[in-house]
Amino acid sequence: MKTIVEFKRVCKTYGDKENLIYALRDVSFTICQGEFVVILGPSGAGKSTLLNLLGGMDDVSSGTICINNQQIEVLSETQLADYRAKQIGFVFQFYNLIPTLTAFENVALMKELKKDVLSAQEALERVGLKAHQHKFPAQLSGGEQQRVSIARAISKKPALLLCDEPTGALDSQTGMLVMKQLKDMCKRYGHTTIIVTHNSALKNTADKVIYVKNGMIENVVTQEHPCDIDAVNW
Amino acid sequence: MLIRKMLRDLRANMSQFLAIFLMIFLGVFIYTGVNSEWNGMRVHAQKLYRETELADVWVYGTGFTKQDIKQIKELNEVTEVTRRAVIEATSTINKKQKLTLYLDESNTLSQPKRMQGESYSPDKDGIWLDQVFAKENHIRVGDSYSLQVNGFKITKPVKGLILHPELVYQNTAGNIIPDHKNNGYACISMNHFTDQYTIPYTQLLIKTKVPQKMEKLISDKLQKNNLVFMERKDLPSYSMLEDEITQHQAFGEVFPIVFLLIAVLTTLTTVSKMIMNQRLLIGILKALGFKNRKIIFHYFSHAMVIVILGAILGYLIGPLVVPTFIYPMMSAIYILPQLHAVPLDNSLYMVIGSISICFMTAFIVCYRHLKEKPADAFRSANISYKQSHHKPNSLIKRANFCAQWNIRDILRNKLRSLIAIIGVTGCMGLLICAFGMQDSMNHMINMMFHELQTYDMRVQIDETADLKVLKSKMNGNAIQESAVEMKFNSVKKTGSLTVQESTKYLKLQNQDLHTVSLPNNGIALSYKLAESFGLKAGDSISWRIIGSTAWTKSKINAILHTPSSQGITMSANSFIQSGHSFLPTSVVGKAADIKTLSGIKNIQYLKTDIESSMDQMLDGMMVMIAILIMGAVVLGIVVLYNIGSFSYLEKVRDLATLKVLGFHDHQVKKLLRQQNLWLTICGILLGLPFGYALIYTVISTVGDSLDVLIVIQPSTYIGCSLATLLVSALVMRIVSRKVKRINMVSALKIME
Repeated sequence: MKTIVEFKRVCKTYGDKENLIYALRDVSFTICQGEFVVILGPSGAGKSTLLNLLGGMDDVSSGTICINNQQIEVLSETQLADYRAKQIGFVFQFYNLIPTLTAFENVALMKELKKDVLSAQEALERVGLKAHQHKFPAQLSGGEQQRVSIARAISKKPALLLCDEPTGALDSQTGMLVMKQLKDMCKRYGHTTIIVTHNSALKNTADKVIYVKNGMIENVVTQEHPCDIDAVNW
Repeated sequence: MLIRKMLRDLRANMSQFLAIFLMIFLGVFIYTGVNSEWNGMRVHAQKLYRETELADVWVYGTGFTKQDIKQIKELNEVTEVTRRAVIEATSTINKKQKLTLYLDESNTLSQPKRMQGESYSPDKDGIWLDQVFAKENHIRVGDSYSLQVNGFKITKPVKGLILHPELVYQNTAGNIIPDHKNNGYACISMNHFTDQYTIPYTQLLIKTKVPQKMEKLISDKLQKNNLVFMERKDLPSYSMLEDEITQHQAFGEVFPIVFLLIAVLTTLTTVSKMIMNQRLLIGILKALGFKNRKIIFHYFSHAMVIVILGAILGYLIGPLVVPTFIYPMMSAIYILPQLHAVPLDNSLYMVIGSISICFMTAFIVCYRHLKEKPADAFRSANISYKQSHHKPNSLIKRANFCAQWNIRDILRNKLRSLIAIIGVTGCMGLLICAFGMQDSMNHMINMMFHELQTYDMRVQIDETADLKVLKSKMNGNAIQESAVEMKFNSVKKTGSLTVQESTKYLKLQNQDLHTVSLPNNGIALSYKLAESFGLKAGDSISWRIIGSTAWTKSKINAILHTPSSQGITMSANSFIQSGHSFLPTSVVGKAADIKTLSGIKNIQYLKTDIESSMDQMLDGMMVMIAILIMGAVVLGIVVLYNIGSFSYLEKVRDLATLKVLGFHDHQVKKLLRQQNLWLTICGILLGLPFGYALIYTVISTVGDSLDVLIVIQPSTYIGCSLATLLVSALVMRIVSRKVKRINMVSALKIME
């Protein structure tokens, strides 16, 4: 399988020379195309930093990051915006929908960023929200909002789908639904999906689990036969 | 502890509270500043009028005797009466210098105020000179001064320098700005004037409580029907200053409203926004057991502190600063013994009133938001956006994302958008007012000196002048100018009469600015008078030259636009036809060397003498225009910056999301800019009529003697629109610069 993400000795530090704090220290790993990956770790382990680096929202202190054969730590601000627009789909913990746009418009917004996108209608159909497409975010439940957010992310046909605690703001039932959707999409349409979470219950569902602790990779486990989302005990 | 929280809140919402502060400050600053300015003028003028016993009624006649005085004194309504003669004199050194001589019999009414040297007294011999004229011509107390009066030379020692209460404003023919170097006045006691010939007393000065009754009472008592009466309100010096004061009063009342309105609206949005942002916190305070009253007072006090601070500063600084800008310009036109700002008695109440409106606004907002149960505050704390139930209509659906976003954003924040529009409207309106006033003035001057008056030189003559020689030398036209009284339906007004031989040098225009020819018979009436009488072309009006007894009824054949003097214009032919004899007082024509000719009282050159005095007035006007422009720009910047950063703060999370999704900075900035552009354009469009209305208000207070047409050049409209756009674009540039600094990572984690 093709490697789509490659971290090589990536360090991210904050502060000055005397007070150097490592958010990430010598992090290296790879992710293959189509994999459903969970990055797991306690609060403050460096998960979010990892995600920010993947998303091109932050720059590395040292090391290289290669996404889809493209080195991203050398890109300029503008190129990074392009990278986010073309390659990355984001799913946020708090959905981050534009409150003044309807569900449909939130998804259709992606047409402004990329030519080759799924139609908003189709994307919403894939997450089962076609019936609610003309509602505003405030008129939708948390789970529904998160599914709109997923529709928005996948409509870009991204090389990489990054999810930051996608179930963090949801109850277990709704969270499970959302996870199921993410995994289904991953398997059916081949989106490489990376989920960052502190919820260790999710680890068995992933093709690959990357354990992060104190800014370092503690372990990377590849699972031949991940279990079904329904089988997870929250 | 809550005070500490308040100070931190104020710091956190600095730009909004600064906007409230500035608007309140500017509103109160202009209000108290301008009011104390005109009130200062009025108070000092009235003090002068009171101290010098300014007459209430002036009666003009051919000669008043001691018997007349005695008879008038018998009237119960008359408290005091005195007589005097007023004649024209010329300096023997410089023929250009004209003096009006007041020859009083006693010094009971309209007493000259001593400014330097001895006080005026009818018992003393000597001359008392106009202090400004003396200063301009370097004449000191103790010098001797020579005058040419009716062919006689009179030399007197200068006993003192004075200010005549009837000449606070000196009206010199054709000029708006007094020319103190060449025009002045002097007082000499009739008792010591000259033995060589007698001068008749032509004026009566009367003190009374019922000026309007004087005409009938005195005419009946003296059995004379050729008397002309003038009440104090029609005295040029008095009415000009009163008009000026009224104009300033209008200025001081209209302009602060714009700022106070913005202050109220800004208070409304700022306080409600702050409370919305702190709902969770309010819930916590309530849950902790703070009483509603205490919490309401806490939030209310935010606005209170700022509003009171702004109002007090404005109240204190306004009267100190505004007059220092306006008084220099005023004292070039009006001469008062002293001039300093006097705060209006009731201005404090007005200030308190406007503060109260802001308070009420803040209080209502606080009360409405804070009366809910603590649990509600927790429940709704997570919904920071109002729910919207309106179905997207097809127009919004078809618009692109940027437009969709902005249409919805404007619809959801109607008040905020309204404030932005009002701010821009105010900015645009003030700019249009400032530059439109300049346009109108320039137009008036251009018209007066390039279109209507085309002579080089105006020579005032007396009856001894050889008119034929003078006219041929100057290739000129003779004109007769005098004061005239007009009557229609028992309404009487005074004005000027101009009789001219042709329109060669003095052209005529109607209100549409088309040149009209001089009617061969009948008269032409100036527009302002026609309007105040309710007359139109074709109607008839009665008139008589002041001093004559007979009324003449003439048909009005044309209505004229005359910028600087209002009255009757007619042809010499028509004048003679109506039974008068044409006695020219001036000749206008080309420049020629005529100094050696006799009978010449005064020479004025159009370009150098008259136009330069106009330019001087315009310089004064520039100060006013500069103040307006400054006000406009401050208003625009403060409102737009405040609203801009407000909406930025509200949207920062959405903007961060867009950035994370891959939108470029310039696309995100475009979002902010587009909305700003729309609101600015709305404001500009509304500002056009608003500006016109402002100019209309200001110009309609200029008084009866001036007829200023509102002329706004297309370039002014375009320029002001561009300037407003520029202000808006600059502010937006500053606000949208923040987009670059949005921290995508932390913005995404904020959950209210």
